[in-house]
Amino acid sequence: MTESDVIVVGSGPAGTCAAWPLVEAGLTVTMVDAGITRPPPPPVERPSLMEMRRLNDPRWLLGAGLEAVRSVGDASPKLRTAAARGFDAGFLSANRIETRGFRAIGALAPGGLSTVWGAIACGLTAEEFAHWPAAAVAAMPESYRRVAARVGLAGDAGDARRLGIDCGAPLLAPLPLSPAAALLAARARRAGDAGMAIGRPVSAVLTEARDGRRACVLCRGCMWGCPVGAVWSSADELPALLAHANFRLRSGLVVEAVEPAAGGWMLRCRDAGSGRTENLRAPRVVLAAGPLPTTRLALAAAGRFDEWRPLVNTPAVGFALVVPSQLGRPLAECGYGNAQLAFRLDGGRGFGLIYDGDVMAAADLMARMPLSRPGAAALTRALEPALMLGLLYLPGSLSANRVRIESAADGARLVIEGAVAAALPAARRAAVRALAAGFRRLGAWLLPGSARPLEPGAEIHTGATLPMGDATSEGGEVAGCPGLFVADAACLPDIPAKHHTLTVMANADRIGQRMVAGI
Amino acid sequence: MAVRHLLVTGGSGYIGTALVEAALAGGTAVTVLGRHDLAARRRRRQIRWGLGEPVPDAAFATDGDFPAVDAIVHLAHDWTDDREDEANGNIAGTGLLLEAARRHGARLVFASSVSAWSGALNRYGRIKYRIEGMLRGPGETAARIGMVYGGPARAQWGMLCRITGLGPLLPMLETARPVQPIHLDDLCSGLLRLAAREAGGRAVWGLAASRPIPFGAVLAAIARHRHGKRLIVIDIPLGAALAAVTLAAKIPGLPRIDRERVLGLAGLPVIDTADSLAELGLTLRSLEDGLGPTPAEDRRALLNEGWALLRYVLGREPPAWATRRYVRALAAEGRTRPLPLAAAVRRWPPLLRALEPLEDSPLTQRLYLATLIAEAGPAASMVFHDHAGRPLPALLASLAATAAIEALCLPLRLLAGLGRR
Repeated sequence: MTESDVIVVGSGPAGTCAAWPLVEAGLTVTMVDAGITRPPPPPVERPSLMEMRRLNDPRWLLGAGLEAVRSVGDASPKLRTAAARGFDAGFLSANRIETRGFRAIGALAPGGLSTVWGAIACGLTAEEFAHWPAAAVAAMPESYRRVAARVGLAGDAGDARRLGIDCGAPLLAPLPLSPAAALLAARARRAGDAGMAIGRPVSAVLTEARDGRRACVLCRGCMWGCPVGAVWSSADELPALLAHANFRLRSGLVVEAVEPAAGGWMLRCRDAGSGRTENLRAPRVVLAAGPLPTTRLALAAAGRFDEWRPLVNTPAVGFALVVPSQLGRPLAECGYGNAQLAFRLDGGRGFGLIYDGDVMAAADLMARMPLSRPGAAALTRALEPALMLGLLYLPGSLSANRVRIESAADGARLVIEGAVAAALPAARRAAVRALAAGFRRLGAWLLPGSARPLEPGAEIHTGATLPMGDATSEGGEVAGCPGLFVADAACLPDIPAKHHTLTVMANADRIGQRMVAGI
Repeated sequence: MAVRHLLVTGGSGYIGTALVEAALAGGTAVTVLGRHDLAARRRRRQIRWGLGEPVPDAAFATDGDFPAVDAIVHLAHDWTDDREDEANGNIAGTGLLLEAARRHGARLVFASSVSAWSGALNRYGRIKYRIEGMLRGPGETAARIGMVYGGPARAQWGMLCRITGLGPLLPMLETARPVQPIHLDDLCSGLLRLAAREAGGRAVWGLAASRPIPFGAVLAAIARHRHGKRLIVIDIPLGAALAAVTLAAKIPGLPRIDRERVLGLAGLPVIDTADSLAELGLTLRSLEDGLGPTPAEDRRALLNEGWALLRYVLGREPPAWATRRYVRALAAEGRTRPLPLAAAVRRWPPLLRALEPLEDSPLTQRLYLATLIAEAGPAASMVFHDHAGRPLPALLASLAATAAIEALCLPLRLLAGLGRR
């Protein structure tokens, strides 16, 4: 039985962006999502970060169920501070993913990882579009604009251009900078961009209220989730999609396999709660379950077993800076708590973000100091107003992971082998040297010994397993599988050093538009 | 057959206390015959009695909570009586008890020992064997009990807990001697099943592990579980031990060692208990399972650990909510066992500054959790953050002081790390 014109697998940024043009064109769309309930955002009345720290009410920072009291290793601390316990649990087993030397992170939750993301929204430069099919490149500006109009992007167009992240869409007023970040930004404007450009990033955060979402209240508590919905999450779009009669959402269904069927595709699904199985059929299926689950489903549907394929990630390095002129200053009471500034190293060597040190959990800072706990507490207390934490991303070409599907009794299994390119260590050292020099010019010092590579995958910038123009067509259709489309980061031709979520969203929108045109 | 009213001798001892609790928990009324006064409690009463005295009729009296006595578990034993004939208080006293049991139609379970045999090296084994021979009536049985462990650290079990905690080495005799342990709770369950059995069947039952374990291995396991350490047990030959006992008895000022206990261990036989256990439907927990602390003990130790780590991280008394949340957060991650922290650290947490591991370890991970929790309260707001800021000279002075203390602690932490390895 054909239930809908299109089934979209996944409710993350790619799934919702692919669904919009299909729904608006009047097609019946069923979105299948493994999650059931969205991790609840913090209550609107949550105090500011500084008040949460001063109040004698541990629920705010620890969570009523102590969600924030656990270790997530190298991965984003938001996985514990802003997400429910078990948010990222069950992802590997439900999607039959096995990893070696690679940290695969995902969530079986409505909105996927966009409920805990850092909201950095970058467009690509012409060089970064070099490996894209020409027709796709031509259509991307319009898709960037459509997505930006729905999501709301805040930033400074001049800074975005200097950083090479301008997507061409109109921007809302930028978020205010913290004292340390404002100082660096001002010095950067005076010093120019020699070797390293630095400026305000573009963030998918509202600086003015719209569509029932409030503007950022500058509580500095971003790490513990946004209480007012100013930081965009694709889960926020589900109510608007559900307002359309031709859109249906099937929650709690894990797609186990996609198989060819008469007149289209059949999805073998399993209820995440009861374990009951159910088959769904449609002439067209859009896979947007996140690059790893999507890769497994698409390769199995195409019957491409035991074939190693590259899996690209952007090797990342965490580091800490000290801005000595800020030492001894009082801590800021209000402000934005996610990334303050972005920087771009010349020659496409890397891209990164810096955050205020005091918006992070002190325990995370202290855990990285080679001191005793009281010593680390004293050092944190002394450095905090002057401390900035950074993440540097290197181009995906420096990763050398591979992935393949193997057949198993219970279905296809995705095997990931983490590896790095031989050139990575040297490139990483050069990039760290370049950023240290770039920041030193602005009066900020890289803390010795603070630059530490993340485990591959822990930065969650992965994809390019089924690149357009190769395993998938320019329209995202899987080679040899008419009617089966890939709309998430799996179909990107490569993964740039910068954040690719906005590009994935725009590309999903473009793929949706093309499907409408094709039908 | 359910036991509605049980009479227990030796009910305030190590086994007796646990047996009375287990009986009460199962809905059985209990009369304790003994010399020690017990606090009043519903469905439990105490009759003053000493082994060797006639059993007062009051012990068998019925009233509201106390129906007729169905069974007696006879645990009491007088270690001080060194007579070997019928005059021995244990033999005579058990005779009086048997007489009363027969008069009131109550079954009797006698707590004997795996060491009971006619040729036992120590008096205890021989006396137990002789008493077994007195059980001739229907419904009169003996339970040959193995090495009892677990529960509160009392009696022989308490002594084993103490000596295994003394140091890294433990000189001990008969370390290869096979012993048959039984957990206190399993023993109580077995005794209650025996008390509930209809007359008939075997007269002597074995309540001990069917697979013996070398005594030295038991000691090492106790050290591992109770004290979190590796114990090296050094064997002393029996002859040397007995000579030492004799010598110690002659030299004033040296501790007296009970020759009875030494010989008891040396003459310990292995008995076949598999059939008894199977017939009673009793599955004994393994020594590894049984040695672990109880959940309540674990929780107390975790609360103490949480307090110590939070006290250390904060440098001041932590709030009670923080300690409770520490235990809850660990439980949510499925971790309910405390770390083997040194007693000195548990009492004086700042010591950790000289011991804190440099490498990643379970303690580092728990310190991270403690720091996360500590951070959520106003105390940490002052210890971890400097909201108001301070003049640069004061800041630099504090950094210099921190650096000096860290430099002093570093060699100690390195040494502690080597010690752990």
